Amino acid sequence: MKRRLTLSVVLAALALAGVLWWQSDPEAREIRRIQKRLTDLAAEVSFAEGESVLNRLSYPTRVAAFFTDPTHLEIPRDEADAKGSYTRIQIEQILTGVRATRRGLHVTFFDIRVELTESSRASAHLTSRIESAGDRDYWIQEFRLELTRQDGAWSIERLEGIRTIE
Amino acid sequence: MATGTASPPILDWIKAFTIGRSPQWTLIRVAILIVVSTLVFKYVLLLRRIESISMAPTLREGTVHVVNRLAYAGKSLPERGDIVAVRTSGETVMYIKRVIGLPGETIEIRSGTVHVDGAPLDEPYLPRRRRDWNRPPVKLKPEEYFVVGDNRTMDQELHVFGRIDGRRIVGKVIW
Repeated sequence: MKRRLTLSVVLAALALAGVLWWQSDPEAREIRRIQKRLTDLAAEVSFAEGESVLNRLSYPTRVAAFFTDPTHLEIPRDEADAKGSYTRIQIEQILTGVRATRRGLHVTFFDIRVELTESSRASAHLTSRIESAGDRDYWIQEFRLELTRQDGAWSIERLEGIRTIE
Repeated sequence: MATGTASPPILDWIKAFTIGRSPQWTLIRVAILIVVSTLVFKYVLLLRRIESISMAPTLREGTVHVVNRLAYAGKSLPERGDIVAVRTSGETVMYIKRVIGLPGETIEIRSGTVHVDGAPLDEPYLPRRRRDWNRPPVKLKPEEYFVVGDNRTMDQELHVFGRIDGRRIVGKVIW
């Protein structure tokens, strides 16, 4: 009985040490920050019908704030063809168009894999599910991103769409 | 003289049925069951719900299917006709498609008929009615497969199909 109790305590202590080590690892912490930043981007890009005017007007600025100025975009899709370097103002114009032509948009990011290439540079690979209000179909798109840390916040400097099946 | 009330037989039966005669062994059995299930559903089998019509009528939208991750472990490779799960950046979202082209082959779709190295492919699993899809010949690289859904009655533009990197194949749909 005493031996079993000791074993349980040792196992619990090891698990706790593992969790604490993982929590305190600066690289893992930075990766979690980037993953959260990208999850926040998905939430900011999404919008629903009947939002306040203020929300609607600030939409392009809020979303564009996740990108560097300029940003390189490569999205080879008929519905959203973008290829080349885009300034912040151009990205805001694209977002204004997206907001004006759709009643609602729901974006979710899955399996966000992040790799720190330098202390202030990272690359990410994720899968997005994009649903437009009123459409029965949804759009699955993989993206590869390059991010850089500017003034403490991670910003996207390159966004490239990847075809899973081509 | 002993006093007290005996529990009704039905309660004894419920107790015996739920926790068994020996609670300690029941606990061990439950723990083993949880560990085995976790390992099986993490490393061997994946359950996936179909959320598109691209594999209809073989796999209908809304149905749940099992993917065997070990189907291509070792030396076994995907074969023509296999229904496979193709991962994206992870395994949360996967495409379920049928393999019609193997590495090194040239695949062409002409008026709805698949041609492998110039010869028409017999696809008994397809419904008779199908659209006149066309795809120019594509030569597959050594690690590439050509996958397509069984629903060829839909518009070609709405159907995701083509070449994939073999390393993206997670397993074979077995049920």
